[in-house]
This record gives sequence, structure tokens and C-alpha cells, in this order.
Amino acid sequence: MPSRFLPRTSGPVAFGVVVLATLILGGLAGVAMATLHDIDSSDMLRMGGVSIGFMVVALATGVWWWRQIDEAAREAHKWAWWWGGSCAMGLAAAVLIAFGFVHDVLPASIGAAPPEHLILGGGYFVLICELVGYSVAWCVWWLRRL
Amino acid sequence: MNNHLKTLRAERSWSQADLAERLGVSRQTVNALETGRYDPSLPLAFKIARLFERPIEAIFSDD
Repeated sequence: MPSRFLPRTSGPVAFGVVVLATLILGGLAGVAMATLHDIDSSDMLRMGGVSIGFMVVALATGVWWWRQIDEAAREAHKWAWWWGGSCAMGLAAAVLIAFGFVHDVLPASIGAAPPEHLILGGGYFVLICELVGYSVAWCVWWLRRL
Repeated sequence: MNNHLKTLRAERSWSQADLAERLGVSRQTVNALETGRYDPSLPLAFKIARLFERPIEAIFSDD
């Protein structure tokens, strides 16, 4: 049972806090990636360790948070994950495949980008689409139950 | 699924927040339950039944 002494772990405010915190962490990671150019293998190992540490903390936080929220909040997230995430991923995939056929509509700078940048860009595009789809679906689930 | 949650809550002069705290759920969940737009799980339905000291079928109906 959620304690009154703990911060609220469900609802629009909590969802906004999670999105904002994720945005800040992502921004910090982006800055670190942009500024760390010349790194050797020992730096790579350290970065790998830090990344794994972040993942473990994120997983533990996720488990704690999932046990705090009530069943309706869990249902909303499961619905958002399936419908919002899946539909957005399908849409993003369709857009990327379409760009493969009509690549002349893309800016020349994208066409000249190295393959690894294109792969990363495609991954980020799908991820952002999924996050947007998830958020929209989560809002729809709750709005239908107001 | 229909239910008498709102009536039972009003009889006790509880707010939605009061009921939510007693059930260990959010106020939004209580609102969704009362409007019949969210059907509770069996454990939550039993918890509601125990709280109002009524059998489940006296609180929830499927018509």
C-alpha cells in the first residue's frame, strides 16, 4: 500500500517528473558523448561500467516504482506500452522504409552522413516516436476513464 | 460493470480521497471505479467488499 510519506508515484505530475528527469539524463548523456572525442579502451571500459551502473539503478527504481503504483496505473502503462509504443514503432518503421524508396526528398547532408550515424539517427527516430506514442496512449487511457 | 461504490461512499461521508487511502489506490482509480469505466481486479474487489462489509455481488453487478 502506498505510504503518505512517500512522493506520489502515479498521476500526471509523477509522469511529467519521470519524462523531465529522463530528458535531463538524456541531455547529459548527449553532452558527454559530444565532448568525449578521443577516448581509449580504458575510458570505454569506464563508460561501460558507468552505463551498466545506471541501468542497474534504473531497473531497481523501476521495480520499486512498479510496486508502488496501483493496479489501474499499471493497466494504463501496460496499455500505453502495447498500443502507443507498438503503433508508434510501426509508424516510424513505415516512415523509415518509405525514406529508403524516396531518399531524394531527404536533405543532402543526411545522404552524405556515414552509415553509423544513419543507423543511430534511425534508432533515435524510432525511440522518440515510441515515447510520443506511449505518452499519447497513456493520456488517452486516463481521459477515457475520467 | 455497474457498482454502488458512490452510494456506499456517500453513506459514510467519505471523499474519493478518503476511500482511495483506505483502499491503497489513487483518487483517479476510485473515480474510474465509481464511473464504471474501470473494472477492479478480484483482490481489489474483495478489499472493497471487506471495507464496506458487503458481499461482492451486493456492490458490483454485470448488468
